[in-house]
Amino acid sequence: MKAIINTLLFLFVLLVLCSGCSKVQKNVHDYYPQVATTSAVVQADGSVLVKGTILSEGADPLSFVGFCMDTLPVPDMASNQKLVDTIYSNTFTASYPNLKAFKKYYFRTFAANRNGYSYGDVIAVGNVQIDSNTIDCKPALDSMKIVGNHREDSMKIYSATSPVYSTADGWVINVNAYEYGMILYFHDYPTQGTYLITNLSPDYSPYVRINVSSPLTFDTYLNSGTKLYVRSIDATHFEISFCDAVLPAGVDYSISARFRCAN
Amino acid sequence: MFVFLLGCVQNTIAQIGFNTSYSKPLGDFGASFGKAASFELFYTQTSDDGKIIGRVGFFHAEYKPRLDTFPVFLVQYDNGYKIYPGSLVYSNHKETSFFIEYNFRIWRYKKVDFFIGGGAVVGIVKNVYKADYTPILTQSVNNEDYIAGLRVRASVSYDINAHFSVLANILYQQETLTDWSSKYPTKNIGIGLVYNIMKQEKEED
Repeated sequence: MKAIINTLLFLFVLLVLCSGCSKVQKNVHDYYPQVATTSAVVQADGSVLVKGTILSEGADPLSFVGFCMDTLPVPDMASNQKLVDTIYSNTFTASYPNLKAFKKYYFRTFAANRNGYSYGDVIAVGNVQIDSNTIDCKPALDSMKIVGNHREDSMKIYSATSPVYSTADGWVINVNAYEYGMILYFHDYPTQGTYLITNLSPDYSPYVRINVSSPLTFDTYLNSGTKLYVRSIDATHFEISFCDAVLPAGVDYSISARFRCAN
Repeated sequence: MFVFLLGCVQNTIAQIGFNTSYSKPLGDFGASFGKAASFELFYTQTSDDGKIIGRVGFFHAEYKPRLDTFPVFLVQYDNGYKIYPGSLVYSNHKETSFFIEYNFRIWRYKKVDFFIGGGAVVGIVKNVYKADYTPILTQSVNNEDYIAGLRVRASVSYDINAHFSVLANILYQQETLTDWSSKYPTKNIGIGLVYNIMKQEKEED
């Protein structure tokens, strides 16, 4: 009888105690992760590299870690959110490209586990500009140069539509030089940064169509792989440039240009 | 009731008692709610040799949330995860339950008895929570759910005189909603007073 009672009690205690075993934290804030926003630094290409550090995972494993950003001083987690997949010894990073040069941006980290979330400190960054040294070449301002088939033509660009305007094919900039015409399509409103042409369609950003009349005549587009630099000059103007952009096979010319337009 | 509690025992002593405890929520329950006072009002029957105690009664506690607002989040998937911040506000968590338990004397020294035992609990919990994930979702929920569970108690009883004895005890209680969605484990350390309705005449071991 005594053995039965002891066994039952043992099983009973085991059942009761083991069904709620997670340790109760003395300080309720210890349930939540702790993170710090370590730095936010403007890169040469005009993007901002934000770095965060995990100070503590909290009482449970992390579910999400990331950054948020806004032009308001206290960014909300959902604002321009970037979740991070990889953490290197408690630090993690994310890059924010295509920011406007003359705005102030506020960044902060956040981390979440199954109990909830917490934020790191806010870091403000202003004067987000592309380092002009990163641009491959510097054609003369407001000029286009076309090179190929033993000839080289340089033309002054006399107009670029300002401001950028919207069409069914995207955001458009029309550029005109003597004998040259050029239309730049951006899928989204262009912002400061380095764009890589990867797809020859206005559905993707960006797409540059070149139209040339006499003495050369062709109507084509910049080949994929071309880098397009969009740099803020002041609060209202971009400077756009590209260097030695190759045109598709059959049009044996390369083209460079630099011009300014209102944003 | 007499037959129900100690049906196989011929002679019993009826008692009523009151116990108050410092109740500490455990596990996930302890993450949201803090320590509270709990109260038990019970009726007991003790076998005339004092070795078995049957006890039935009511348990009541009201736990306060540990934060005014809990930071919680909502996950949405649309070509990748996005998480939205939110807040959760709890009201006090009230529990009233009925319990039945049996305790077995494992040792006796003069007027001090050591017991270990356990039993079952059924009851009701009430709370209100307001979740705010603006602009995705806001909701306010009034919970009034049935719970059931088990409890184990280790106790020491000291006979003050023929009518009164004091009780010091540690009680572990594990309850769950009837759909198993939430568990409410608690540890209760308390002291109580027991009044013997009939004169106590325990056998000496």
